[in-house]
Amino acid sequence: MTSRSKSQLIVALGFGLLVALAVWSFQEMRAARASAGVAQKNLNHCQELAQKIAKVRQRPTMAALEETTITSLATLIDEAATGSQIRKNNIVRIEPLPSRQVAETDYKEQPTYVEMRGVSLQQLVSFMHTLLADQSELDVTSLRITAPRYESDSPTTPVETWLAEITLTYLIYSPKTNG
Amino acid sequence: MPKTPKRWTLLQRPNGWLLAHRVNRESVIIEFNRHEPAKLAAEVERALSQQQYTGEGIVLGLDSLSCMVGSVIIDDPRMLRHRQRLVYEFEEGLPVPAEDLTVDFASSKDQAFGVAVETARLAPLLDALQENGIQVQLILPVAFLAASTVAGAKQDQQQWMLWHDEDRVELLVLQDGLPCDWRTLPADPKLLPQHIGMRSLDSASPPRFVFRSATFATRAAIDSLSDLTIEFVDDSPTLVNAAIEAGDRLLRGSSTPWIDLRRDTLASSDPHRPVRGLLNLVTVSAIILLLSVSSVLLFRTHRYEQTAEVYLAAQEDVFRDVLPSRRLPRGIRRILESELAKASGLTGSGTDLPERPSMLVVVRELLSALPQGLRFRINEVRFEQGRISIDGEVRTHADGDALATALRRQGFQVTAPRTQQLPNQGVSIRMTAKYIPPEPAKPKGDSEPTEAAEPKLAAGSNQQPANRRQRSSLVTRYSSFATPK
Repeated sequence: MTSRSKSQLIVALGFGLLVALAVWSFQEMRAARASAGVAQKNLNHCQELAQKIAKVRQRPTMAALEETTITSLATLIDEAATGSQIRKNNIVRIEPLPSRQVAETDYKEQPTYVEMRGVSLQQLVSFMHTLLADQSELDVTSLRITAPRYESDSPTTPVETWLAEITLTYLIYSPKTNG
Repeated sequence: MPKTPKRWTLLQRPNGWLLAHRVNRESVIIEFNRHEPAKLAAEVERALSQQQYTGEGIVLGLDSLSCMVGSVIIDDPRMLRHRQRLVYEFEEGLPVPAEDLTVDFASSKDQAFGVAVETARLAPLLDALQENGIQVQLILPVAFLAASTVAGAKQDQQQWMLWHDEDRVELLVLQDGLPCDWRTLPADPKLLPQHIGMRSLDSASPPRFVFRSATFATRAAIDSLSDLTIEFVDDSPTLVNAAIEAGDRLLRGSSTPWIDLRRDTLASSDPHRPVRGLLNLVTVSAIILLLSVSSVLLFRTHRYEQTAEVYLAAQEDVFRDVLPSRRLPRGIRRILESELAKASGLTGSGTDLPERPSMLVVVRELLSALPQGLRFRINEVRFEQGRISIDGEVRTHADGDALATALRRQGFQVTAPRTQQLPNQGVSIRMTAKYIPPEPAKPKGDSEPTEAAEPKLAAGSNQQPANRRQRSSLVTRYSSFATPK
C-alpha cells in the first residue's frame, strides 16, 4: 500500500468516524427527545392521578383493606351496645362467618352473626346506628326480629323486648392480582 | 499578507533543463545541465526549496526531439469517443508500439493531431521529481507552450507559425486555433528555405507565414522565398520566454492546454492535485460541519436529558405529595395508578357493586309504613337484602290487606298476604315485601325532584353507592312495633 493510499484510507476512516459520530449524536438526541417526551407525559399523567386520588380520598370509605383486622369487631359491638344501653349479658353470641367474594368484583364480604336477646326496638336501632356510623365499611346485611316478650322492670311500665339476630358484614377490598 | 506562490515551469532544452517562473512579466530562469533524472530532480528540489516552494504543481515542457507527432483522419465522429482506436491509428505511422507511448490528441472535427512521448524515457524523471516532493501538473511540448501564447482562434483559417529557437525553427500549423501539424526544421540558412518551401506545398492555398524571433541570417535566407508571404514579428519574445509565460497562465488557470501528456501511465498519482487546495478546503469544511452538527446534536441531547430530569423530579414531588410516607419507587406512575385503584376500591368509586338499600333505611321505611289506626301484632320480621318477611296477627282477613296496602304506599313491593283464621280469635298473616329505593335526584336543568325522589335521610346521604351510605337519625323514628291499640 502506497503512502498516498494510506493517507486516503486514514482520511476515509476519519470521515467515517465523523459521520458515525454525527449519526450517533442524532440517535442520542432522538432517544433523549423521546425520553423527555415520555417523562412529560408521565408527569402529566401523574398530576392527573394525584388530582384524582385527592378527589377520591375525600369520599368516605365503603370497604376495608384485606389486611385490616376484624378482631376488634367484638369490642366495637360492646361499645355500641353500651352506648345503646344494652346490657352485656343481652348479647348472646358473636360468630364470624366464612367470607365470600362478591360476584365479579374485587370485593369480599366478611359476615359476623350477632345474637341479642331482650332488647327493645329503640335499643336495637340505636345499637345499629351507632355501630354503622362509626364503621363506614360495616353494614347490616340481614336482621331478624322475633317475638316480643314483655319484660317488666317495674310492674306498671311493661317494656317490649325482642330477640334480634343481626348479620354484620364488613366489605373488604381485595383486588385480584395478575398471574 | 500571505505570499503569492510562484508558478514554476520546467523546460527541457537540447543541452539541459531550465527552471523558470515569472516575476513582473519577466522570466527568472535557473539552468541545470544534468540529464540523469534522480540528480536533476534533486537539484531542482534544492533550487525550489530556496524559493520557498510549498508543493504547488509545475508545468513540464518537453523538447521537440522528445516528442513524436502524427495525424489521424476522423472519418466517423464516433472515433473520437474511442481513444484507444485513435492511439492505434496514430501508432501506424510511428516506429514505437502504442503500449510504449503516452499520447494525447488535439482533436478537431476531421482530424486528431497526436503528440506522443516514450513513457519509459519520461517516467523516471517524473518519479524522481515526485519523490523530491515536486508535483508535475501538466506535460506538453515547449513549442506548444510558446505557440499557445500567440495563437488565435480564427475559424476556417490556417495559421502557419515559425519560431526560431537556437539551432532550429519550430513550424506549427494551427487550424481553428488548434495545432494540426508540427515540424522542427533546421535553422541552417541554406536548408530552412527548402524545408519551408516543401511544407508550404502541403497547403491547398499559399500559406501566410508568421516568423517570430528570426535571426538576421534566417531572415535573409527566407527572404529568398519570393513566392511565399512571410510576416516577421520583430518584438516577439523568445520561444523559451513565451513558453514560461504560457506555463504561468496555465497554472493560473487562465488558459487550457492543447494537449496534456500527464495522463495514462504518466498520470499523476494524485489526479486531484490541481484542485487539491479546494479539496482540502472542502474536506476541512466537511469536518467542521460534521463536528458542528454533532456538537449541536449532543448539546440538544443534553438539554433534553435535563428536561427529562426536571420532569422526573416533578413526578417525585407529586409522588411525595400523594404518598409522603412511602419511599420513592422506580415506577412512580405505576404506583400512583395502583394507589388510585386502591383509593377507588376503598371508596367504591367506579365500582359495579350491586346497590343495596341500607338496612336502617328499610327499617325506618317499614316503621313509617305501619298504619296508625289498625290493630295488629308482629311476631317476626326478617330483613335481608332489601326484602322483608313479616309474620304477625291481625283481627280480620281484610286487616291483612290493609296492612299490605299501607306498605305499598310507602314504596314497598308487597306480595298478596297469606292469612289464616286462628283457633281462638284473630287471623295470622304472612307476607313478603321488597323495598324499592326512590330514584336519585336528577341533575340541574331537569325537572324539579318530586317529594318521593328526595332523600329522606338527613345525614350521610352523599349518593354513592346511594343507600349503603345512608345513616339516618333513625333512633328518633322508631315506634312501637307491635301496636296493641
